[in-house]
Amino acid sequence: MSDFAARSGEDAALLLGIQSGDSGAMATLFERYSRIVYSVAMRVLRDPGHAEDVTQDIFVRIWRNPDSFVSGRGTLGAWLVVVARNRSIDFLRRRRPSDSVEDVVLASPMDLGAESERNILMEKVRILIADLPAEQRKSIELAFFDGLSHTEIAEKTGDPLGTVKTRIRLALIALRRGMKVERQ
Amino acid sequence: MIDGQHIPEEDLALYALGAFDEVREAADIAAMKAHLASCGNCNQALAEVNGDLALLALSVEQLPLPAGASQRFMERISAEQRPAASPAVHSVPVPDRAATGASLKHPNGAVASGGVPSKTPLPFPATSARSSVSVALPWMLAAAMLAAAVYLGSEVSQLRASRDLARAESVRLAVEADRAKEVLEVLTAPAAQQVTLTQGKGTPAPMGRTSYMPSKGALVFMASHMPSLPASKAYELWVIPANGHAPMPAGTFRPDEQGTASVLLPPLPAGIPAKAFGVTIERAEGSPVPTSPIIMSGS
Repeated sequence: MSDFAARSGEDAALLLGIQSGDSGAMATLFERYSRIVYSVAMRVLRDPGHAEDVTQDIFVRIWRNPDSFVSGRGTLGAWLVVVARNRSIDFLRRRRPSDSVEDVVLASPMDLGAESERNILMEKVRILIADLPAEQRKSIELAFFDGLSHTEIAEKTGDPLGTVKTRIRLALIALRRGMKVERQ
Repeated sequence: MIDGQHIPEEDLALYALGAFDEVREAADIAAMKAHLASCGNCNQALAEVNGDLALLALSVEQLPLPAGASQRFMERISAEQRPAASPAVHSVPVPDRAATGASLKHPNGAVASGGVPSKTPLPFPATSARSSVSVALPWMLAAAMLAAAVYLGSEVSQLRASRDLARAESVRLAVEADRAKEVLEVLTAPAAQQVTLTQGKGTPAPMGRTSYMPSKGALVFMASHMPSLPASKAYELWVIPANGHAPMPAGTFRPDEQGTASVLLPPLPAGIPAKAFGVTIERAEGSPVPTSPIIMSGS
């Protein structure tokens, strides 16, 4: 069994434990993923207290409803970082969560369970993002980390709406392709 | 917004990002939601865009959690045990005073002291009549068992919370211990490449570095470029107390082929501040007092 499969199995076993009320399993899951979830929340919110609140809320939701995550939707770690970003943007916009946690459907083979592999992956992603054309990088970061709408980005950058949309899409395509090349 | 049969990928990206204007483009958002509810292709494409967003999230700098965050989290989930996880004893209702009193009434009304019939229920205990004791006893036992069950339930809950906190703490300590072990291994393993950077090209002089925590009596000493010694001799490290007392032996060491050596956590009493450290050459098994001149020192 590969390390990846083993860890996916570990995550599944932890979720099963959480389903049966095993708070030790919850502690292990928190230990495994809370740093990356907190880091994403911090990048969006830039406030340690608020980022910890968001982190706690996400894991408390898993404690209350461990069925939120279904393994067919991708890896738990990838799912958590997207949920962390979405919840942080909700917090930033002072609105109630627009979607339930269950609504984040995600396809990703990324394994974030092991710190060493996660660090390597994060370094690769940073390089890919640094290599993006500056306009693409700015548009995608304004949308993803600052939670701006495409209209707000167009107003901020002075670019036409269509251009903003295209840049965001191109940035995501470049990321996806770059990671495929890395995996090959 | 929905071009032909499916949602264009540019719009799916904005949808996944929540980057549509929620007021001005509310109708478009609703149309996409409706389409996604029934289109497998667009759902798959959306899942892949979310996978791209997960990548984007990984560009952040990874930060440590604030101090105590793990403990706060465990306390929070301990405070809200899910019903499925709760022990059965938790479902036993706590009898309030009125209910307990009612349960101790005589089933036929009441028996007053001295056997005089009365319509007024007696407060507990009503023990003057033998018959009332025999009737009340099972109720008293039931009440006592109920109270015991409630007490034990509370104890179980507290023990579980303590256990969970201990587990979280042990996980944290294990991670820290692994890291400390790794650091120590890099510092002391024979296979580790030990290099001292110096200015110029001359042969570096013997050098030692000591880290000492008087409050714990904990000491780590690392030396480099130490000349080799005959088999009958060893270097000995000394802690020279600030209170003027005699030097304390802090372990012997012999350098490896590269001239490096270390002394890790020798047995030293806690609470003795040092004014200096020194190294002498002693017999191989060490000496309780310095018998030769100090060849290296630092304060």
